[in-house]
Amino acid sequence: MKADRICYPLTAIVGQEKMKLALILNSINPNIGGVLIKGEKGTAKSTAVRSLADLLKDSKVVELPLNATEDRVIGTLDIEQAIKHGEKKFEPGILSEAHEQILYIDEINLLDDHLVDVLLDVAAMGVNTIEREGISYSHPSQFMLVGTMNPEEGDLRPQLLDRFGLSVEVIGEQHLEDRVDVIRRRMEFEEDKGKFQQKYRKEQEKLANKIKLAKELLRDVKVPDYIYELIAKLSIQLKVDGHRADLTVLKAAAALAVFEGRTEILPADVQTVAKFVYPHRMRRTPFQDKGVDMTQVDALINELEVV
Amino acid sequence: MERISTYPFSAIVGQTSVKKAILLNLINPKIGGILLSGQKGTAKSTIIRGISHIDSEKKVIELPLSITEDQLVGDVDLEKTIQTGIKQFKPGVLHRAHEQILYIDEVNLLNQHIIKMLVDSNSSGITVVEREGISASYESQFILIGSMNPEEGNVSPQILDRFGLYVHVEGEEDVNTRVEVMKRRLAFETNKETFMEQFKDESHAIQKKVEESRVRLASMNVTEKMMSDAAVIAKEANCEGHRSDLVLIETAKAMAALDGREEVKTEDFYEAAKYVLPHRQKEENSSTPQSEKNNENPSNKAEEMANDLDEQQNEQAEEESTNSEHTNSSPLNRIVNEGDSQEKDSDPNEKKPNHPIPNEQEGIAEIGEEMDIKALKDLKAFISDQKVREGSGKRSVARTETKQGRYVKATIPRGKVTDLALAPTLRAAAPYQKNRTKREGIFFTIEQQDLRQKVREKTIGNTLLFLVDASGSMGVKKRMEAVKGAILSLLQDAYQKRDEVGMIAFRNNRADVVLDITGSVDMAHKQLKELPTGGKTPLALALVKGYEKLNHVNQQGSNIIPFLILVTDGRANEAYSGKYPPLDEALIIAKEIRNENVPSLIIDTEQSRVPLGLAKKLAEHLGGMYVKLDEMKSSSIYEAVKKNI
Repeated sequence: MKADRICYPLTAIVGQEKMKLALILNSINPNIGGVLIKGEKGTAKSTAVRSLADLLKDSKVVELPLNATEDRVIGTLDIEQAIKHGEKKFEPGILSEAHEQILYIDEINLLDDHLVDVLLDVAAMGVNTIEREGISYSHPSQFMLVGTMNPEEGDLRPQLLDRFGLSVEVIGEQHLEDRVDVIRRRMEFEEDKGKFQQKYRKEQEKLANKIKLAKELLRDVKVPDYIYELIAKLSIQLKVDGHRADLTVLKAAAALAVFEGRTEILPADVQTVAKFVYPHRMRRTPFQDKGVDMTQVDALINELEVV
Repeated sequence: MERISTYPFSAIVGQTSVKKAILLNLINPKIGGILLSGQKGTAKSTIIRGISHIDSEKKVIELPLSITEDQLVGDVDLEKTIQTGIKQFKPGVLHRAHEQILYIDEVNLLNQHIIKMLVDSNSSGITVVEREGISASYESQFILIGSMNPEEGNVSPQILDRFGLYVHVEGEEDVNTRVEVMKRRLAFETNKETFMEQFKDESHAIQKKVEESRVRLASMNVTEKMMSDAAVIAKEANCEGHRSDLVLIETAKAMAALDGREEVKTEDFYEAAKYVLPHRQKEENSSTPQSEKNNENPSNKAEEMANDLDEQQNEQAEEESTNSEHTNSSPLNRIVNEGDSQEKDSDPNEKKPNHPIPNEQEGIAEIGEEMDIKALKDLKAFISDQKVREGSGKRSVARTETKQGRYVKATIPRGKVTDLALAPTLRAAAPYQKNRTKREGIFFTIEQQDLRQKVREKTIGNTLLFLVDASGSMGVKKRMEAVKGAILSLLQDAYQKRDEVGMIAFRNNRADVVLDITGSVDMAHKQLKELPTGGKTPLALALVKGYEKLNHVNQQGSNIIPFLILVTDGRANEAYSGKYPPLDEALIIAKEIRNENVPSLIIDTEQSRVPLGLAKKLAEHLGGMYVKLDEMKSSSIYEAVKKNI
């Protein structure tokens, strides 16, 4: 049973620029590796994700609910086939459905450990391998992973954290006017969804088009050597684990450049996306103070840019 | 399924140790596989998947973490059994893996039972299946490669030992190397075919080298000298058992062969030791190779050995003697001879006599040095829990009756079937299908006796409730720092095990819940940092509060095992009811908590020349484990914990 619903337009979301940008960059280049959205309840997190899918048209949001069973996630033996025909047939699960789509997990930090294990396995290989219920089967499962979490309710395992390309922190809008705007638009939307959608149609089309153009430009991006070096130096200075951060910065910076209509990556692109890529990857014990000092990034970029 | 192109082995930048370990195993599978441990994002799995580029005969078979037992070893072949009416066996993944490479990513997260079966098959070379009325066996010898990130927990020492080689993987720190990593990866992602073509020749060259080395290896003999070299090194390194000696020999042979020689030199053994010993050395502090210190040690050791064996021997002997000292004087023994231990344990820097309660002075202490404790490394040991519980965490593995949890195997149900294991049910019914009467349109008949129930396992965490004495007597700066350090160590462990934590601080006439039970250990840390001290000690009140809190947690239906950690010097001086002296009150309440079977740990922070032993008395009333703060640094606590089960 699936209900069709009218989505709140992405362009109508007040503020939350970082979250919107992070989602857009991922839609330009799905290889970036998804977004982890950290923040309090009621900050339009899941609205934004659904709105993005709605805007892109070519992808849908597949949700992995916290109460999902392992069978349902990875797939299982088709009962009907087995009993009616004595045949073993694989009945695909959420991971199959999510292939080339957006896999959305609300409150991902509360997800059961064994489901996280499964996710890690699949995210690492891009393939879901099933060895159970008498079935040996595998199918591709590459998705854009979007998770949300409220950090006060628990931590996310470091290994899974690293699988998220970008992370953003969202907080409710602080300016009174913005808050009023949020309420006003929401009420307007509830009152007449069709009309509201119509109102934002032009803006939505403009954004959709911009993303489309950006995607086309992506293959023409040239990366100057000094950008490679800049990224490598950043990663070394910020003491991140492994090399995934480097590649993610590179891909995200390229996506940002093309989003702005350029085919050359500028240090400013690196500077912007670094703040999405590094904070959740800094090598630290779980107890060092959270606030990662991103002024380090700015200082480094200023310093290195001279070269 | 579409074939997914893998990144070529020869295109990997750096990671020389990993690559070498792989080549050694390809040349000589007797080495027994590799365990790769290290940071996230260091191409661990990329390298393994790339092996197919340099060995066209071997397939890399990946083992998913969700694998079930029947699938691993094999079970009744459903279709064939229905047709013939006779049970037919269908071998599992272990059969397919024969003479291939079996790769387990995140091996530290694999079900214990599965990994045990797996390593047993591999070391005996034969998988024996005895289940559901089937007896079968088949050859299964493979190169076992596991990779893991130690942040997620460790592999047990028994399993560690089954991996021939161990390599610690780190990212490259050099700018140019990092740039090259990015460039190649990007080139690969842009056009896989072209990229693979570019590295084809190099891949062939490596393959040829491996093949030639295999030929050289075949003609090698093990000499007396080699055996004694291996024995000397293994003994020096303080390895348990003899597996390391044999692996050293096989590895040294492969080293020589890879180097183009047919004679094995002593240097080959030193080089081999860097891969063979790290995970097998018995260390004073730790038996796992995951801590960085340990990772560096073995290779250093191997080098040192090369330089000066004698010196090494002395060092080792010294280490051993420290070891034995530790075991002889466990905290338990020390508790018995309390008298002399106090002097020895007190911090030599702190010369001032610690006169009672330096009063109501308030302040916030820094967090002291973290300790490498073993005390709670394995809470599983003392909360052996057979009950069916819900929850999610790494502390204890429990059978669960909800549909949540990892499906490990099927069993004949006791009572009603709540979670049907379909495939095993069908397999159980299969042999009888020929003779069972069928109704129209139904192909398959299942009867009551065929039903099988799923057995699921779920790791569950504990709830650790810290009761922290923040009174004036704790306010001596160094003391509180040490206390915070100790709690932090416990929190570190809680983090890995996904325990829930809560904290109650008590001072003056209050016991405040400064942190409600939460899964966020980070929050606990923050509260700990900001914890103010000063004032009197309302111990009884604190115990009541703590007990209420744990009770509340249990009532909420969370079946998580509660655990009370009380940090105090036991100097109660603030009354709760006023009917008895403050300390007596506390002891009475402690006894009641004991009656409720709440497991507890008391960390005694008392530090004085004439110890009153109040906290110890409290521990006796609580029926909990007792440990002195100063002794938390010693590794022997672990032993004490075990004895206390």
